[in-house]
Amino acid sequence: MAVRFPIYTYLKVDGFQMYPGTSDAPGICHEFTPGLHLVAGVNGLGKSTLLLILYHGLMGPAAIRNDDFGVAKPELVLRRDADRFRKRVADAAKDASAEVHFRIGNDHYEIIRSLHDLSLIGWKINGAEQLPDDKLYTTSVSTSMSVGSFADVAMILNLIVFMFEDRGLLMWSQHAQRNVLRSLFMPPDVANTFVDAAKAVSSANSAYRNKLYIANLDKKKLEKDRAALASADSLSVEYNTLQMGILAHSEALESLRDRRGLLTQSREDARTTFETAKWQYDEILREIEALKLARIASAFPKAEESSHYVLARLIGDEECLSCGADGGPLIEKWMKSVSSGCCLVCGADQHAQEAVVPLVAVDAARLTKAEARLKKARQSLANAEDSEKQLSAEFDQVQIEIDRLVAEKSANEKRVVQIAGSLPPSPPAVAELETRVKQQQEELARLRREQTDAEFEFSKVFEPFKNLVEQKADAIRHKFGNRISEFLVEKAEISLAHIRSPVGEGGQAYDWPTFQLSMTSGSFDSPSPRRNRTDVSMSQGEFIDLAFRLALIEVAAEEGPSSMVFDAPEASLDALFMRRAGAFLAEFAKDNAENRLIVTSNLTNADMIPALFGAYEPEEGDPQPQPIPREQRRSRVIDLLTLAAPTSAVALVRGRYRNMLDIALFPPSGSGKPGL
Amino acid sequence: MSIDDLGSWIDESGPAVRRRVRLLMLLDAADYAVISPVSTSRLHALVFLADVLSPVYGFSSLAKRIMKRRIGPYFPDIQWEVDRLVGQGLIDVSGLKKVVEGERVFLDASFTLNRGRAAPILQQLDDEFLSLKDFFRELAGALATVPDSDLDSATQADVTWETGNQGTVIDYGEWRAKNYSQMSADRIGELATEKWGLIANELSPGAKVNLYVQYLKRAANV
Repeated sequence: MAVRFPIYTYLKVDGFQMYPGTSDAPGICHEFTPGLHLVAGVNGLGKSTLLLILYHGLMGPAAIRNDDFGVAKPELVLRRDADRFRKRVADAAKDASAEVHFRIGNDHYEIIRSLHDLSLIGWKINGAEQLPDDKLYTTSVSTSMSVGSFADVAMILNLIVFMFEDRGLLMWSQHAQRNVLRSLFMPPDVANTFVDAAKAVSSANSAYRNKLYIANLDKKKLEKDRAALASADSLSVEYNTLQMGILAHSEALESLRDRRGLLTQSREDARTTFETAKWQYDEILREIEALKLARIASAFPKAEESSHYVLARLIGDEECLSCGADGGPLIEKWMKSVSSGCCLVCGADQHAQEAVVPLVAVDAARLTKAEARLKKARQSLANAEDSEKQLSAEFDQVQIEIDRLVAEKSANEKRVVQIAGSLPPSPPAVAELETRVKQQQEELARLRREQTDAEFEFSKVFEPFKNLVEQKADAIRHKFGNRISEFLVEKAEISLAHIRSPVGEGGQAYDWPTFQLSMTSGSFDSPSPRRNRTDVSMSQGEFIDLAFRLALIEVAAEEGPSSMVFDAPEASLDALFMRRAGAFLAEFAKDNAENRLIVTSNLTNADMIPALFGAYEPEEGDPQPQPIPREQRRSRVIDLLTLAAPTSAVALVRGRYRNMLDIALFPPSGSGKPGL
Repeated sequence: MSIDDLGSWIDESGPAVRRRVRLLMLLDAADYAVISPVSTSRLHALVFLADVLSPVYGFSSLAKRIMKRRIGPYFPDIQWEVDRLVGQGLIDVSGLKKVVEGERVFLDASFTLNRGRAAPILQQLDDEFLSLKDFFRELAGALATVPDSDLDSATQADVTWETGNQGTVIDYGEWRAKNYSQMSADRIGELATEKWGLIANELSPGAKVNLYVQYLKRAANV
């Protein structure tokens, strides 16, 4: 049975502050007779809002989840913006309602909804009052349209009947095409079986993939753990050796540090002893020098003090300051001469010397004692120096050993930390993981079987679907070709391709029947594929999509009537194409005696209005106009300049806008012909 | 001997030669500061302060330790090097006299560089150790204003000297990293830069040494 499309016949809006209406006729009340109807206004008067009232009058607050029309099974949810009307007015549309009448096949629906929350206030079918129950209503509409579910109704309204300014385009949406083709061409019960089977495939695949992700993680971990276990022996040996080494180093270091502590004290003591010995030696030395100085000075009265100093030192310490040698051959003689009072120059005995000046005597006793002390001090000094050197060397050796052990221990500790990080888990943990991986593999096999089963079931409904679309393809292609040639100068055609892809994200792939566009252009004489929305211009895209929708309606409805609701078709059009577009749309209105074409148009771009009403004189390239009789035109216009709450701009220049509308609807005569 | 050879020869010749080089340069600096001849006590005070303040100029200390005695800084091994330089005719002795202090009898003397004999050596040393020469001259110049009679108390105020006990060895760089004199000179330099609003590190090492000697003088009420 062919799909039946809704035919809007009547709209009444009450109590909605956006549309106060006139004092004689408050609100909006409009009858949609067959053919064209125009919602005329300027920005902000609520043209699109009026179309939305028509849409929600039928759809209510239901929406496809996430507005995703391409999923295996589109599901309905309550839309989050069910407050979209009440947000537009100050009184939150508390008392506002919309009455929408439409016909589906032979069923006449009269729906009243609250514009506050889109709830169903009441509805009638064929004049009979019904319970205001959404479930009853949606089931009834679905049945009347001869589609599988109310989700299919939403699909058809969104992708076929209504073209809003933010419209998605069916031509270039492969996944949405699947659902639309299924809704339009499959018998309702088969369509439902189809979506359920598709959903089952998608769910099974999703479950399989989720499990696969987790199972792969565990499987990889198991492989890693097994590899770690395999190398565990050598690692463990190294780990234990290192730990033992660290322990041995710690003990050795403790002992060495104790030793260093002792040596520190001994070394300091030895240094003090050495320094003290230097002092003692020096003191005695200086004493001896002093004791001998006078004797030297008297022997060499003319000599310089430096010479006295050198000599005093020579006979004091047996060291020659001149050459640095110790115990030279003359030293003993000199020392003896000084001590015994002999002449220092010739060695003559004291008694043989002339006593020209008194001889300076030396304190021989003190000198002898001092020389004995000096001898001892020299020995002590040598001993202290040796002792200090030895202890310092020992200390240095201990310190070098400590530094070496600390460096080795630190390197071992670093390696231990490294190894600890890569040590394998305990065998029981690996065994547990093995069990889990095994269970997961079994679960995966089960899910894979479920998926295969689901795919098998789906294949049974997919083939009839594919055949159905293939059967309709020629007709759709043909009708599209007819339609689009009225608008486009370029040659455009659609063809049925089979695009291979799975139902969900993975699993068995199917040859999905999909319509694809080809078109000529300045660069291509023969039609070339236009697989992306961006391969055609904005206006071309919209009218190609419209032609595709109309072709689908014609084929699916099997010549039955339909509504087409188009928001601002002129928005993206080049001015020269306006008449082609107008004629194209008007053609739809005439295709079927019951068709309704509801279009909004902005008066600031008023060329579309005469184009739609056929009220123009054709120029080069224009289609032949088929004017709507002048007397019918007013009744086909919902004049928001009159009915809607005026914007500031409208309040200011309402007369000019009105004039624009009048001129658009009833252009003055031109070229000597009577007014169109 | 070339200049290059001199540097490496001194490095390789052990502490005795390094001590003699420094002694000649210090006595040269004393000449420059017009404080020659230098008494034994002033000479050792100079040697001590030059050693503890060497790191301020970036040089390492030579002795790195000293036995603290009541009579003030005195390095027996430095004195032995002085004696050797006297024997070699590079240092002249004057004011040689026997001093008796209680039980202690010793020779006291003052020392002057024998410029005639030392000049060729110093010329090479100056070229090799130019900044060491600057350092010694700064130090000798700063200490020139301290009379011999006050030198002892000024040296006693040095923080390195002050930290040690009588009869013990003061370590200012041999086994311990801490050299209080250097730290104090650096800190005094920092305080001065803060006070005068100078950018840190702008104060020269010479200025720091001068400030430190000023501090010693104030601490000793000179």
